[in-house]
Amino acid sequence: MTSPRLSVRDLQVTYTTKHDEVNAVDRVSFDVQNDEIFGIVGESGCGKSTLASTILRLLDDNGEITGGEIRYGDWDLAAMSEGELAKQIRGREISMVFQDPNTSLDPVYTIGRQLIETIRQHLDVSKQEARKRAIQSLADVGIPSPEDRLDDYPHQFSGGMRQRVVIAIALSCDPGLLIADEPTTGLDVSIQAQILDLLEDINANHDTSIILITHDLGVVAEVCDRVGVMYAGNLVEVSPVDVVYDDPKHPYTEDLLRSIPETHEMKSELTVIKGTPPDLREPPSGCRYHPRCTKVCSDACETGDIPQEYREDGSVVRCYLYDPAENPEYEGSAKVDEGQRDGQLESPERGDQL
Amino acid sequence: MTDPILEVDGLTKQFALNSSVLSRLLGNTRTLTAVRDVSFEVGRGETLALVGESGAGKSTVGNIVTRIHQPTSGAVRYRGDDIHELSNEGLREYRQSVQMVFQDPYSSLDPRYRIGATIAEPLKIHTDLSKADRRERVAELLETVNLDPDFADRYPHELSGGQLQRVSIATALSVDPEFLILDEPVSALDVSVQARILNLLMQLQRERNLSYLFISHDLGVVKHLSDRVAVMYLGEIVEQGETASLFERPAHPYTEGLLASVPQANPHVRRRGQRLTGEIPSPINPPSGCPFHPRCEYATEECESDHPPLESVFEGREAACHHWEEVSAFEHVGEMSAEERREAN
Repeated sequence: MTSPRLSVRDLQVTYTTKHDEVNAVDRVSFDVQNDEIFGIVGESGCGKSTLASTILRLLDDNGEITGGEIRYGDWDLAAMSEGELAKQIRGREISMVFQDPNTSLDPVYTIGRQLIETIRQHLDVSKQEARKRAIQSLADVGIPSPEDRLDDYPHQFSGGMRQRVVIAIALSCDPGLLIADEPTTGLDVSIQAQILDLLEDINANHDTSIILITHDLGVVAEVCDRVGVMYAGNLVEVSPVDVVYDDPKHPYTEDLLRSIPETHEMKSELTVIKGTPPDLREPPSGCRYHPRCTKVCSDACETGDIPQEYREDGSVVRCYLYDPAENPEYEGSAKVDEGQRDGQLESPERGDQL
Repeated sequence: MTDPILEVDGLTKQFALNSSVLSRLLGNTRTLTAVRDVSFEVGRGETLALVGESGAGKSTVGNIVTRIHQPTSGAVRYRGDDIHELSNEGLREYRQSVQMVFQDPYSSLDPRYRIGATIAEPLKIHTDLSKADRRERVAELLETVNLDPDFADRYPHELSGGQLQRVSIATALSVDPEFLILDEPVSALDVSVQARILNLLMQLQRERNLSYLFISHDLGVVKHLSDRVAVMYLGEIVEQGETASLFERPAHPYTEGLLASVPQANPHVRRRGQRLTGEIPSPINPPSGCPFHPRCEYATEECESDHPPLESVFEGREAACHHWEEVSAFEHVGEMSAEERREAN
């Protein structure tokens, strides 16, 4: 058994505002395996983008990690110095792609210069060698005649091509992990399909794991191997992708799936989740989903701490439904012990899972 | 369709592009054709969806129907009258009867007005209700869209996106319209909030027999609530027909590609058919012949030179394609075996 590419344990992120403290990410644990596409899905404000930026320690000034570990190889990214992080990790081992390619590219430099700069920042190579690598990166992401396009400026590319350039820069140093935060939001469906194909292709042909952050359950079903569902700063479920769609474990996952039109007869009334997401300045006690949950099973849901993590088939779920002590009707799951997490989950062949 | 309330007939809209004084003097102006010879009808109580990717011209069509833009040629008839040739009184009635809801409720509501004042504004213009009556009506409208009447005293920044979108809908409903133009009304909303707005729109349509022109790029939403769909590409309608049938058996390669490109929220199903390759060409310099031919896998020589007209291809369907028979004969929907999926990947 190989160790996972990335292990996040009990991660806690707090934003401090003038009057309040907000726990945007609360006790989140998950692993990303080698060569998998791990999706993180949730609605606005659930903390998914905060989680993504935390891995590279790109939090805003008022946000800080207040607990937990982020293990990547022998490093703990949560405890590393800023200098080392910049030298060893960002852009080298882990790179990130954001939603809007226009903010990631510098409009006054050619894309060749931006690519070569990234490569020479991290790898000890000559200018010629860096140029070669840059051309290869552009070819890898499907940009036609990459040699000629190296001297073009970002505005000379279309929106879809610009996102490809951003991905080329992210891949230029062969990172072990690519974090893509809503990489196709705002793109047309045809371009979105092409970018998703590209991510699958990168994942299959390079030794690069991918974390894909998205609000779109269709995108998750299309490309992810496993998916984590976030609600109000908690990771409530981590499951293989077909489990999420066929047999979701957490009531929130189930409710979320039931509110999309695709799961309904045409023109029928859509299932609605009651209430609204909580204000994280004053999160509900117990399970943060309990005020909206249709399956409250115990006093602990309302008054306890957030539920522990329970294993259920190949999933890890945070819900008292799976706690025999709180839900007498339920038998058969076990609390997750450290070491027995996803690491031991057999990682099925991609084909079988699809 | 029995009783069209809106008829759009041969609509074309060209925009002049910026050009220098000299080239204008020499008569060399460049134009962009945003909408080209578009015709459709919307029946009473019916929802027609306009779909397509950005730059297809769907919002321009919506803006012409709301009289934000003047068409270059063609006509829009509402209850039989050309909306660009209405008398003052006719125009006032039209503006009461046709209302719109836009994508971004943050920019369509005035941040300095209380919610109640925003909703009451059309009542001031179109009715002679007293101030007290207007207040009462505002409270009713808020209840119609499932908001607490107390919201009348709040400002937009105090509300969430979904609540603001309900305020936009309440404002549109305030003067008892018969026709709503909904331009991407749920695109900015989370799925759980989107479900509420879609339920509300469907419920209002049932109760009031409203007609909708629903402009959207989200095919999942369109499939759920529209009766008929018109697919636009580079300013033209390339296919038009009943929703269920069109999703099951597209007759235009662009529709096929668009449907195949949408990620399905089900890991076991993927639509068969060619996904779209390449990108939309510039509308300033559109391709010759069929505008879709450079991206089309069915394209033959004929398609490069000969523009196919939008014509009835089978019962209830119009398509603009020389090869519609081949496209529509293809089996598009169904569960994909693990093997097929592996291959598709």
